Amino acid sequence: MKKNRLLDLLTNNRFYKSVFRHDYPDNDISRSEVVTGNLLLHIQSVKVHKNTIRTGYTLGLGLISFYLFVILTITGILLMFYYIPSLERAYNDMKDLEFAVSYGIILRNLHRWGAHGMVAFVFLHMCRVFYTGGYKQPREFNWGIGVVLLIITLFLSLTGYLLPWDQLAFWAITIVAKLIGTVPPESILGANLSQLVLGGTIVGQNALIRFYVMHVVVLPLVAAVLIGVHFWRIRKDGGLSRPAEE
Amino acid sequence: MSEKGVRENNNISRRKFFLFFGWLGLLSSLATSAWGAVRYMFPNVLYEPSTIFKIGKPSDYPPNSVTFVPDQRLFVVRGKDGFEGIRIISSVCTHMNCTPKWVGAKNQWECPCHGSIFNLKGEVTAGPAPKPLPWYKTTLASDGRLLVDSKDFVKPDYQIKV
Amino acid sequence: MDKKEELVIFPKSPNKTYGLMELTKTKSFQVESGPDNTVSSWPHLFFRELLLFMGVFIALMIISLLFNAPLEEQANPSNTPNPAKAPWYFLGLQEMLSWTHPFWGGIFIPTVVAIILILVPYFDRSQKGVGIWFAPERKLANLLFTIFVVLAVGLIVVGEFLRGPNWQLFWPWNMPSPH
Repeated sequence: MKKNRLLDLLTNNRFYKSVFRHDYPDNDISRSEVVTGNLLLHIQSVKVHKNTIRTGYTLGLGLISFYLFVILTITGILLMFYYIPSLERAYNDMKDLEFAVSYGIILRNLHRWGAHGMVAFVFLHMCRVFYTGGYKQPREFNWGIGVVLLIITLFLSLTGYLLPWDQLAFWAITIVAKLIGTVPPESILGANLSQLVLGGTIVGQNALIRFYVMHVVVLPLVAAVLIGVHFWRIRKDGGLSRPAEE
Repeated sequence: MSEKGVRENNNISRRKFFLFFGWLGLLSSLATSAWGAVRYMFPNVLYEPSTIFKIGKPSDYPPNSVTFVPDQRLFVVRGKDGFEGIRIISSVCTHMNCTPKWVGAKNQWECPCHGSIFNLKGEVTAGPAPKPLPWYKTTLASDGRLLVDSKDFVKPDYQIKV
Repeated sequence: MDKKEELVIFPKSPNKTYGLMELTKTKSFQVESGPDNTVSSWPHLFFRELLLFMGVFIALMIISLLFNAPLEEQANPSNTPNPAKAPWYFLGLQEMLSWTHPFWGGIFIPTVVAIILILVPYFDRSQKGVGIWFAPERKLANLLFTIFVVLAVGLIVVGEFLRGPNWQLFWPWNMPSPH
């Protein structure tokens, strides 16, 4: 085989070999070393069943959900540099992102439309798993984690669209707080839950900062951990569901 | 039974004793920390507007009218429904805290969020609202303005004579 | 690869009782073990995954360049928009809220639905039809789930397209325009 000189220069040195300990993956051993020697790829197995890469089986719905989560994390972190969760600043910061910050509107659009997409694709992913019977033993627990992840996705969306402090945000918080307040017994449990969410009795600064902390720290952290468990369980439960072999 | 057997029994019960109190200590310290964290989430001081406040003078509200006071989220009802004086009703829908709009042509309040409708007495005539709109206790302050207590609910016939 | 380098990276441990001794050209133990239905993750799986990421990112970027995310007027406690509609994914919930006491439609029913969903695999324990789309052995399960999906999507459609001012029902062609 004719060697590519540039490739050789880049890969045949001590630094490269200290990072990637395998040769170019053109044989089965180095192909497996690509996976086992890489923290990010290691969550997947060295070999997968042919059914796993059948596009018509999974439609890639779960992976699309995960990719949207990654894009939402990155755009979310970038948006945090300009957004300040205060009643005076929040709405104006949204306007700034739209009109005064370079590419701010694109980041906000990516974040908002990505969030809409994530809700849709997580739901579609759940439909795929159901219609292919993918939740059956030994995958019962992973199905449960998936349902919880769908609920967390909805809560992430809810806490997210409250942050711009526009009319949608204000009335959504108002309704959510009142809704939580109806948990019986209303005077004991409901009232306290509503106060826990609002950090007071009115929809104001305390409520905004609470939703902000939930949206940027608590819920993404829980989601990331559960996504990790979700992926890990796919392997531990024997890989992606597939038809029984004859 | 030999002395040895008794001692063995004592050894086991001592181990159990420490195990029990070890678990008790661990779990109770975790539980109290968790309770502290929950309690922390409920602020002791709230910087919120007072629930007792003044609005305009009675003469600001024309006879036989319903006036919306946006800042305090209430309606000033003067006349109407066979009454002469001024009555104050909440503009916070009892369903989901939205603001119902006064529709003069139909003499009723209509909520935009989930379609609740309230009649001139504040009673629910349609929609999902569980309770009628409350009427607030109102007095005349020394400077001639109306003093409203939004935590003190009164019957619909409570009125301030003008 | 240089043998010496390998030894430095993985020094032989006296406690280790096994190890890769050498590679020989001979029949592997997989001979006569039947057809292998697996493929190497690299490159078959990873390149597909990478391709999908490119597709997702490009599609999302195009949408974001074409359509701006909604931003309503600044929060105003004294004026509830008419109709005040949540984003589409919560309109089913909002629709249920408009029927009954809010606790039932807004908290009780969604919680029960979530619990039932989580418990589905513990009720439906037959191993038939796994890995096949719309397996004929699973007619009942598929029918029940389809009813759930139709209800969930149907409520969203009603909330999004049929509800107008004061949350009243309108046909889409009769929908009063917002002022």
